[in-house]
Amino acid sequence: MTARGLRHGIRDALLVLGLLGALSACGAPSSATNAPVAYRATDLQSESGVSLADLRGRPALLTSWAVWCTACREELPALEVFWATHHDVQIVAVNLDGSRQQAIRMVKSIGLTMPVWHDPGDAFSKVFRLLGVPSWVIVGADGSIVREGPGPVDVQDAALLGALTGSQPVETAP
Amino acid sequence: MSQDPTRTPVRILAITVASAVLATACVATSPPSSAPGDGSVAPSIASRSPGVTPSPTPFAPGVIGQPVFVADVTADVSRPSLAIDPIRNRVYVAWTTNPNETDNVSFIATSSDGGRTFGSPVQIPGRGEFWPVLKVTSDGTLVVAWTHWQSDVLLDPKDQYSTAGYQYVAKSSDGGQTLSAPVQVEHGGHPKVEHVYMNTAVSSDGKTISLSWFDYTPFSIPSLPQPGREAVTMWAATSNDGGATFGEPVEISANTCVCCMEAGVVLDGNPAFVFRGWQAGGEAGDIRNPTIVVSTAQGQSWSPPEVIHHDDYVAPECPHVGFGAVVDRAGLLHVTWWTGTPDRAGFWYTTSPDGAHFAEPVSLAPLASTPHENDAALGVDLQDTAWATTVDPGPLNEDGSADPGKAVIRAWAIGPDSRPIAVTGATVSGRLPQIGGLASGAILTFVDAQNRMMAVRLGS
Repeated sequence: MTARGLRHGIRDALLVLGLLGALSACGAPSSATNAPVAYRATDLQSESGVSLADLRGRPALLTSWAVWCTACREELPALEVFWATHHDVQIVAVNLDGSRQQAIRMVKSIGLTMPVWHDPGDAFSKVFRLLGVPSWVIVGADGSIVREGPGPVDVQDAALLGALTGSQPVETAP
Repeated sequence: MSQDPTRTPVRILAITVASAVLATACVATSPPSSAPGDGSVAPSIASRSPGVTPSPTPFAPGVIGQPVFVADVTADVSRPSLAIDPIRNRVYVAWTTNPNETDNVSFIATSSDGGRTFGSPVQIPGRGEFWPVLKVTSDGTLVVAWTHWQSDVLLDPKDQYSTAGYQYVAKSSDGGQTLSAPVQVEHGGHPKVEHVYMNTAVSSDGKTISLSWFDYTPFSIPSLPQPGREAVTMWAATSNDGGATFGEPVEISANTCVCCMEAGVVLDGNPAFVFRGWQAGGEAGDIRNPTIVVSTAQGQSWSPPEVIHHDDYVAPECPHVGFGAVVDRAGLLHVTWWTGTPDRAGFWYTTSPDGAHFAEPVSLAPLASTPHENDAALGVDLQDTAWATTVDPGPLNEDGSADPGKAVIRAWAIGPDSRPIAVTGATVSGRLPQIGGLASGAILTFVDAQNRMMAVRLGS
């Protein structure tokens, strides 16, 4: 870890500790079982099958989006910046549009480089019991649901970061 | 889904009993609805049509005939619109696709035999023509409104999706084969807003035409949705000369859910729009209730929006499901919608004699998941039977995936007693349903798993 990374890590750790009391403001702790959850989609670009099992070993943040979702148009660029500067977090943007081509156009327009899955049947909402778009879920290293919530992801939220990093400081890329 | 060749009395009786049992299981009353502001009592839904006598014979709606092919569409087909001229037995279906991944193109397909067959689709001239909305006047004129998104004009240079929108209205007096020269709705000469989810309200004589839309210009969007943020605004522009000219747009709601779509009707000569209102509050964010805004003086002024029912659905995200709204011959307004409120998530139906007082909502179908991009479509036939659709996204596969082709559309008939009856045999796999009333019965259109626009006749 570089000196800058260490400073960021300490800052983020303090932020997490200082805001632990505000956990309830960050979506809801999952009411789901601790058992690993089955969720499967396809990679937007390659169309190959992907699943939560592919993310096992580290927590992962999945957030849903669609081309008609105005909030997503603002959330995704911010999430992309966060992802690009935090190399140790797993983030997947799950597209729910029926048209893969429409989704690809928007990915190009925004300049997303993070993993993007395609779920035109909207299994995301059913598996994680989330109604609107965007919504997000943090899946633990063992594949169980750790936290989830409606609305855009707030990458400044300490509780969310703590859940995403297993309460470990977020490592910031130099 | 096939024609029933054995409509024996026994079979009809069995269908009737089954439908009644199913309907009884589905009917549920809601918590108290929004109290009228003047303290008056909302009218009983059972007495919604004083001039209509309940049918003395059992009402057993079912499918009449096979589903028929309307047109091939593409996977990105969006926002279909259905309009029916029950007097002349004409059915119009419009939709938008983007087959070449460039500009959107929109089509209208017409049936002149009540939906039994459809002619080749006619393209609305131009490219970038988006989300056409169809209405029919009493003399059979088809009124078509659409948004032209000009992809090379961005309202925010940094946002490729801030495409400038221009709204157009055209008419057809030859059954949809040709359109008159489109009239552009002016905005002080400039496309000041990004027009989305536009809908129309057209009077039966065709003289009053109102267009309504949501405005989410980039400059009005807050950085992120937060409780207390400024909501998206809703606007309307009205013509009182049959669409020849339109007045300046006026803001008709300052608190609107942008991604929730809207439906337009004319109530006693006055345009009205049903949409999902927005207000700050709730533990997790925004409260989004079904809301109506009704004009006065044929669209020249507008009353404040009124909540149709306090579902108090808290949703900081997009519940992307549209409304159904239609007015029957007796002037009664019928409305359907979906809500995600816990313990009452699903499709609901209500009526109002005046757009201000609404009956207790009746449950059409519980649904604790969101049928994104679909409308709670609604139509009414000349017998004043309302016809509604619900969409269930379908079950999960064992591996946690979902097949978009498994979404289930159901149709419902709602007679004078306001009791929804599942239409026998009208459960189909598909999406984007629309429904409209014929002289007796209805037409259901949908996009099937093979991306075909299909139509099926319903009746009793």
